[in-house]
Amino acid sequence: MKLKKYFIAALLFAAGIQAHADQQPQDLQYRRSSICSFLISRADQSMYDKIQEKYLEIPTPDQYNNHDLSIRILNVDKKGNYADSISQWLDDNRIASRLVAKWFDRDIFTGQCDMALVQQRGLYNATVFDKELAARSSRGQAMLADAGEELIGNTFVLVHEAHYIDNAKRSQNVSTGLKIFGALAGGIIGVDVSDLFDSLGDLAATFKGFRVKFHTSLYQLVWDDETAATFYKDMYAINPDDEGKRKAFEENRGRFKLKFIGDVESSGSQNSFLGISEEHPDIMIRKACQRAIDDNVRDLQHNFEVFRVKSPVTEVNGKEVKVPIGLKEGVNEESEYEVLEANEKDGRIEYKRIGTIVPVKDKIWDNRFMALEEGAYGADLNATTFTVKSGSTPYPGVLVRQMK
Amino acid sequence: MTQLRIAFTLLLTALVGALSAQTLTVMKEKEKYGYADENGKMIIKAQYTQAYPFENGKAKVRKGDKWGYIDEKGKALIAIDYENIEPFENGIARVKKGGKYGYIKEDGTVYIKPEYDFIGTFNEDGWLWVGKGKSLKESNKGLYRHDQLIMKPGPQYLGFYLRTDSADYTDGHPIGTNEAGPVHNEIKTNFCRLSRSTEPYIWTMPLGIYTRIFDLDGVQVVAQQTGAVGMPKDGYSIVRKYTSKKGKTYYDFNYVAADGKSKKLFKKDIRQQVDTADIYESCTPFHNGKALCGTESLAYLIDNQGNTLTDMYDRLTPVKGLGYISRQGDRYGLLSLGGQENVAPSFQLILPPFEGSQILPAQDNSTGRFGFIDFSGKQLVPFRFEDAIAFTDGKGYVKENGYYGIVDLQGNYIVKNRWQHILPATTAGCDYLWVQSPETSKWQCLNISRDALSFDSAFDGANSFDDKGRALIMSGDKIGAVSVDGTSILPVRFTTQDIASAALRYLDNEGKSFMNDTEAFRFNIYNNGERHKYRLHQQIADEMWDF
Repeated sequence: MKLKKYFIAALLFAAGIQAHADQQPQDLQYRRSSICSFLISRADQSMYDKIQEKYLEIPTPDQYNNHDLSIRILNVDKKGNYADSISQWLDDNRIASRLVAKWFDRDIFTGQCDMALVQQRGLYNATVFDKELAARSSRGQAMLADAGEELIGNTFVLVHEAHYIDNAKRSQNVSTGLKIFGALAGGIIGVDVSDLFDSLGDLAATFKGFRVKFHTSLYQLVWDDETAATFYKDMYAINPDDEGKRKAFEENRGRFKLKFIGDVESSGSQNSFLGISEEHPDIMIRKACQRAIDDNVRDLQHNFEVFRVKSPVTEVNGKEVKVPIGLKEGVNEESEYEVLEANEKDGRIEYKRIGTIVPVKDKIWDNRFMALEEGAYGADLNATTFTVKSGSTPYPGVLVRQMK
Repeated sequence: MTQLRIAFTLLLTALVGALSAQTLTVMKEKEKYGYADENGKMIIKAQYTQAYPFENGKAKVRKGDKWGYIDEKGKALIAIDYENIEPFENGIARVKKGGKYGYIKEDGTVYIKPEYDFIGTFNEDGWLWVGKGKSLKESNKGLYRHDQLIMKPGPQYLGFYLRTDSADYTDGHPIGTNEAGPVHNEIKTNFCRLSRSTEPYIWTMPLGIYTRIFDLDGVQVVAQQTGAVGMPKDGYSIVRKYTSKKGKTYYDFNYVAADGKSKKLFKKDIRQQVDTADIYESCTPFHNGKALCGTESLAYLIDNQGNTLTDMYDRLTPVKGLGYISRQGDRYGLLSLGGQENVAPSFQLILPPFEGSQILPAQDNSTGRFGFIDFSGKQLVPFRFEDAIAFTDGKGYVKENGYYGIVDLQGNYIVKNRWQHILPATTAGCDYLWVQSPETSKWQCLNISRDALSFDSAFDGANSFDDKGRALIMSGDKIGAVSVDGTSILPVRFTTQDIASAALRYLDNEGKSFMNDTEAFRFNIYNNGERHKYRLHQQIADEMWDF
């Protein structure tokens, strides 16, 4: 058992040598929480279509699995308090049931389910898992429970509302200019619309001043013992012709629920657009949006323990350890992280704290979106260096989680 | 076991150390940064406000508010004198010095002197725009090719003409669109986004009002023109202006010599009234010394001296590589590419040939019957049919005695005329096409060689088979795809042809031969642009959800 644990750790360590800023080794992608995101888009904001476009390009936050559904944007006409509407919409559209269906890759026509995604995200050996499950052995049940508690129960929904801060005087010109922005201007030189170019000159200056605030609400999928048991017993169809189970799921979608955890709002501070050519104002929008969303994810992690992620130690050098997290995750000089050792007990994974670590000043990785292009200090690093504060020195492969 | 663990850790730690390339590391001392060796001894004195790690023997540092690069002895490789140095790419980096922008090389020598208020980035061919002025909009724009100044900064927008063949125009599409194939020209932003240059012309648009054209050495070939200006072809640029008067809209055309003198070919512009229901541009760029010219009701050919080469016709429809179909009143004729009248307007109708074919459907004036002719007007298939759609790939699609069939060049039936309608095969050599049943009005697949149905299934609509033997089919309001033997390629789940076509391309890219129901259902959703247009207060139908 210890050798197996050590082997896994060694594999992770070896993987860490090659770990690049934006690439997580395959092993490190397992056992992560999953996120489904939505954007509430306001049509009264200029550039709302550009914000939508860039939002769709923003990937799932690091260290979470992508659990998005087909619909990702919802539209409203103007600014307002939509908290209740959002909760109602999530309920009316049975989002919780769809998240569950996605976990089991449920076929919409036959209701047939499988455990491939659970296995893939859970670092389980598929063959062993299936055998244990089929035998309904205690180990199989434990692994099922494990998958349920740690994976399916850690499925979250983020609902973002964008508030774009702009000089109202420019907004009309900007929307005119954006009609040809990024597209062929009729394909001919000398576009006929004579007033178009008066407004376009403001474009670069406006983008330079582009600021956006995001308000983000966090929900968690409810996956308790009762919910899980009912699903596996009555709705999990192994075969494609199990009409009874298919129908049971469709008629009981409303039984699956999301619970509201909390919300945060980004500061809306101006971003540096250093390193971005004026020829690419769409990148300015992307940067502003992504930074705001990353800030909110970080604040949600800080405020709500259930949303915090575990990150692996990738390198150890004496008393210093490296972890591929940084400013984007909210690492600062005051942070403290607990070191967690994973142990298998009765077929289930348990985490036990074995120590704490703190960041080394001036060795905090700036991994925010486009930090490198901005020339930000620390952007060249590919991990943050920590030093041991208490407990035993971590070894590569153990996980760390933020405490404060 | 513990010893094994320790040994293993040490081995791996040594491996990490061995893989590390840096010998000096950044170290802070009394609020400033320097560089120390692996023993912690300061080698380069702590004197910098910011210091990056060494890479390939050099490190970026900041002193005060200026940036530069040093070597591992602390000597300045690039003077610490820049407000900003962006990352090096292809051996050069954009810099800011004294509030001005330029480029430097990796050894610190100047590539483009920092004297510009605004500067772009190099495109693939080494072109770069620069600007001088107080605001981006009003700055004077110039152009570099690598480190050579081609165009001094002046009040203008810049772009390139991409390669185009004016023969593309003969498809009947207006200049400047990309429907005919290659994009004719391109503006990405109002200020100087430089596209790929594959034709030897640069256009500039001073203040967005008028256009000038230069060659790649910066010599002006077309002086400023208002309106839309086409790329010079055969020594002339076509110019088109759009105007509106008393509720009617017009195009005014002329040709400008691309010789630097820019003399107009015609004293007075040729005015065409624009009919938005039938967009037909009566003037084309020159090709082999000739151009189509005229108004909405008059068409003729001219040479590049402005001489009229043909009679006046009501309309001339270009046929790529062959000539023109002329129309005079309600009669049709044929002109060669040179403008010679092959056939005087005497047919009741002449239809353009299918692409790649040189045989045209024509309707005889006296009998009203259809047959096929070549571009000299010679009859190839006798005029005996009630309708003729096309002649392509050795097959003529005709209607006789109320039903459609296929004949060869001798007029003998390859496919007996027994169909309500017929859709010509568009892929050369394809032995399958769609025919419409007179009993059900549904479309079915026919094997041409056997003159027999390939399979029983019938559909509400279909497209011709592609070169992989697949065709889109319509059933109700949904679209799918089948193979020539009726095998389902795409289930009938797609809401638009575009999405179904995208699904076929997806199969090709993934090396798959078919999609199942669920895959098709989800693909349709993911490629449906409407899926992000729902409102917050809306309950969205299950058919838009992937789970």
